[in-house]
Amino acid sequence: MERSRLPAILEKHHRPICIVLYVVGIIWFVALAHNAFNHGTYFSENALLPGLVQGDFHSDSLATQYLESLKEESEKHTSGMPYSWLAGQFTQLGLDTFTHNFTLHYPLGSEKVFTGKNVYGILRASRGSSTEAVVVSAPYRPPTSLLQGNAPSIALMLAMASFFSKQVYWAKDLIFLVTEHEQLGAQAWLQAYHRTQSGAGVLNHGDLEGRAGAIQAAINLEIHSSQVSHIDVKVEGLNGQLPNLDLFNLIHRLCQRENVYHTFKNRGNHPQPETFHGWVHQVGTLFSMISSQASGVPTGNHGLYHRYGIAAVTLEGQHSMHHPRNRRSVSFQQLGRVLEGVCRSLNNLLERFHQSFFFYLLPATNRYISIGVYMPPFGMIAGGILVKALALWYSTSCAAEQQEQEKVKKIDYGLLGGFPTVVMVHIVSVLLHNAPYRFSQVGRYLALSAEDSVFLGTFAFCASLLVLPYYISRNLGLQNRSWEIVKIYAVLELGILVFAGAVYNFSLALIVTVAYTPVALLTSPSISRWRRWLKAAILLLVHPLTMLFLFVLMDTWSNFSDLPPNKLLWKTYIATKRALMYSVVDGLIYSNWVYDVAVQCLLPVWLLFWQIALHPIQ
Amino acid sequence: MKCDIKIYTLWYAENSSFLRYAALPRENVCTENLTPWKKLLPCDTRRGLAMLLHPAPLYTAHYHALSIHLRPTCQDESCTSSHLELVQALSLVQNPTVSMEGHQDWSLRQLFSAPLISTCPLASMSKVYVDVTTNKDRQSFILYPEPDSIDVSGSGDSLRHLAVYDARQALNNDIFDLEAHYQSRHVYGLIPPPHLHVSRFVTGYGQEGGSITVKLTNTGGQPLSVVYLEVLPWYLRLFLHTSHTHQQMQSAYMSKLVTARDRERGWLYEAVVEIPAGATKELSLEFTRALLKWLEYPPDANHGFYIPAATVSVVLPTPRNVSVNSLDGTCLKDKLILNEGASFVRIHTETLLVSLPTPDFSMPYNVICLACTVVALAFGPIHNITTKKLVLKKIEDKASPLSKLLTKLKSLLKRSKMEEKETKGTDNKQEPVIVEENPLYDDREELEDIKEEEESEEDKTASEDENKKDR
Repeated sequence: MERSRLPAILEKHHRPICIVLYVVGIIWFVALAHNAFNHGTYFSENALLPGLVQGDFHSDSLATQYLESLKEESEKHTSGMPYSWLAGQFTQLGLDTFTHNFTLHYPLGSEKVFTGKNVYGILRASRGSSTEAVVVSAPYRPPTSLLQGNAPSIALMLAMASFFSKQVYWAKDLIFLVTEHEQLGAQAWLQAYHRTQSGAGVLNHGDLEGRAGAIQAAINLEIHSSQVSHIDVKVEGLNGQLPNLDLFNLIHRLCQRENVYHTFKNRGNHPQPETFHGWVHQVGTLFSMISSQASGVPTGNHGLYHRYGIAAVTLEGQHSMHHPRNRRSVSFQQLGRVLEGVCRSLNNLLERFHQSFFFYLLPATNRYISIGVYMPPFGMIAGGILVKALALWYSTSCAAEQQEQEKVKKIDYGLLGGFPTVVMVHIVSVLLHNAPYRFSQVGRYLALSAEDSVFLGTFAFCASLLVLPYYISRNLGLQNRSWEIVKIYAVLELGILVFAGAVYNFSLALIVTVAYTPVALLTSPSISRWRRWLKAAILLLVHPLTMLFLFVLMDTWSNFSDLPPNKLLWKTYIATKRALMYSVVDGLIYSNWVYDVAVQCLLPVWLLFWQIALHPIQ
Repeated sequence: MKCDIKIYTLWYAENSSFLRYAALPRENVCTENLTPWKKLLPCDTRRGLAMLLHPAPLYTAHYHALSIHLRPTCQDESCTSSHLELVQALSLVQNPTVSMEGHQDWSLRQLFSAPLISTCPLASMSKVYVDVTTNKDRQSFILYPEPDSIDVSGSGDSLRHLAVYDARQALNNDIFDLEAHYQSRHVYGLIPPPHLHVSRFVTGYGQEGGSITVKLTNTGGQPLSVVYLEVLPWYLRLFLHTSHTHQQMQSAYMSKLVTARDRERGWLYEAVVEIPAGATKELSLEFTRALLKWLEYPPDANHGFYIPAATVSVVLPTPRNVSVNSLDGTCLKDKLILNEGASFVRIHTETLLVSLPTPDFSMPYNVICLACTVVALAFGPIHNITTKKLVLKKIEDKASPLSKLLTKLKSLLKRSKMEEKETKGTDNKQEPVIVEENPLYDDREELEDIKEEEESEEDKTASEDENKKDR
């Protein structure tokens, strides 16, 4: 049988092809941060009509009054939320006011029960019949909270509610929502609003007494002081979902109009983006977005709305010391005008957000990289994986044919040969996926905290899996089976993971691809002991658990760069434990997929590579 | 108008096959509805109470509703001749408290931007009523001018005090501007809930499934039997088997069901629900969303589809929180008097907005653009291939493909220099030449002429390009 020439050429030169694809892909991707490769943002939805009317919010003194009395009130409730005060304020503004109770049954460890309450008021629209709504929300933080206080946002929200209730142009109901316990309150409220459940029996979302139709958009406020230096717009949501780009553009446009200095990822726009320094600055912003999107953890309460098809962003007002001197600080008046403009624009919407992009990356507040632009370089980076699979398939089928002609059967090239190994690694991954609850139960007997027991349990499980290749090869007699077939399985699974993942959470797929493509090209059994150990060491470096540790280390180092190394490592260890714990718990409460993907998809691939690296060959 | 007409037989209600029900969920009331509505009045807007209805204050109100009720009535007990009764109603809710920082004072001039200056001479009666039930001892507000009389009717839950003004008397000497002066600012307190409270909403998310849930709350002390009627469009495909779980059907009984047929008729679903005293019952109808044909989508398809309000009919044991409970009365005067005892109430729930899976409507445009581009690009080569004959001339030197590529590359690199030095057409000899012969042309000379022209044109454009580069 004659084979076509292309696969043969591919097989012969696949190494340089893969390396070129990988390197060019990465260079191309980094180059996207330059303005020559990305595009300026624009409005797709004409109905928004941003800034068409002059803002006339002038209740900034009212906001200051609210802030003072809220501060007084929160002194009295040092750990809780002043529900009655908040409900009273909403009621006196003439809003439909409701409270919402929810309960969390903590899924791990001692299974404690936490309760919380949200307070919300609905301003009924005079130009509509409660079929649509816009949410303005703010998390309440008691004075004992470790996070920066959020009383100014609630004060501003109340002042805005007072101003808005006097206007007659509203066609959509406005829901003013104050949530407790950060994202938990927002998640419970949204689940109760839509009557959905994620993670059976973990979060009991309770019921809402009042509703206001389909929610079109949401704005979450986190303003830490009455005078802020700039507004930071946060977009990254749960599992890397993003709001419609039009909403981001809307805020950008209105901030510009009201002279509010605004940033993305706390990084302003470079004055000369075309220069080399401008490009470096935008690369920094871009990678900051990629790293936070990849974690799948929302950067604010807005991130939980995205699942319900609601475009939402968080506006964080920060007072930073590194702020450029020439900018004036932003007052309640300006913030109120921005929010008034945003709400009026959202009120103009005829259709829900659908016109603009849902998949994009942002290198600056006025530039974007759309999916059509970032996918080709990603395809190049990940293309090596497919080329490798094709080359392996070609070489194994050639070898099998040769064996057949020579009539000696040394090595089994059948596809079924690699099957037991593949099934085995998936079974252990499923076991590990369901293990955290057991770990925490065992940890209770050993008087360990849930955090410790989950981390130590996972670590021990992963460590014991390292001997899996010896066990498998002894019992299944792998000497006569082809490791190439196993590798084809592994590489194809990795390919499916990264290409399917790229349309769901692009950043996570990108990081996995960049880390795993070289490994996929490199991994093969070797006779030399030193080479084998070197490959094992490289593999250990991209183990999901090690990758978690390395990312946490980078994050810790960027936050506490002045710490001595031993303290830094200790801090990283603590943070890693916490990160693992959070990813498990987030999976149960919010349906965050990162833990599932890491354990059920990435770990089996890694175990297959580990198996190949330690494959016995004569 | 005579107010002594009574409906003697409800003949049209005896046979339910005469009953028709329709609802239009997406119709905003505006001035274009107000003008024809006003024209139905006996004096139009030129005289009478209708003079108060200026569009500006009407449409800055927090709530307004226009309605027309038409029904046939009998003229007398023998029912030999019939009447057609037309009742026009305009409801308006204004909220002066919010705009005036808690002050509640109001006047006709403030609410309607004009006082009353005339009555309609065709009207048999022209009266203004103010409900003063909560202001029996005149503690909270004072009316100016003083009312002509105060009608007291009913007792207990149905007790109602109405201050009555006869507009004709009041207008005898002067304009009539009714004012109310309040003693104190308004403080929002707890509002006692009505006897039966209904809320209806869509649950679930995404574009596949969902369910319409209705929550019925009985705050009274007696169990209520409620008729819940839902008329839904066909593009919501209901799942009755999951909606009617055992638990749900213990207290609800499906009294009527007409299944939908695609593009022909919608769903009719009626259930009788028992609500115990002080309890809340929930009914839910699960559905999937149908995919429509692309011409069936309305403009702004991503806005969603309006689902008409459901109706809830109930006989309440007491007329608490009920404004009108006399169904056979004709005049406002009679209707404002509450009858004691059981009273029939029909509640219309919220309309809903459901988003259906929507195609990308810009796609036809994209497809047209793409198709036109492809046709335009394909036309040239296809035209060439079909109208011209390709003849290959032999080339003398046989170079390997690699060296050919190299020479081509070299010639590309050196082109700019070469072209300056070389005279026209010298490099034609080195390159393989394809002579195009057109079978349609018999005359060779003509063809050659055309070719020469083309070549010379090409040369011109090439030299022009060079000039541009040089500049």
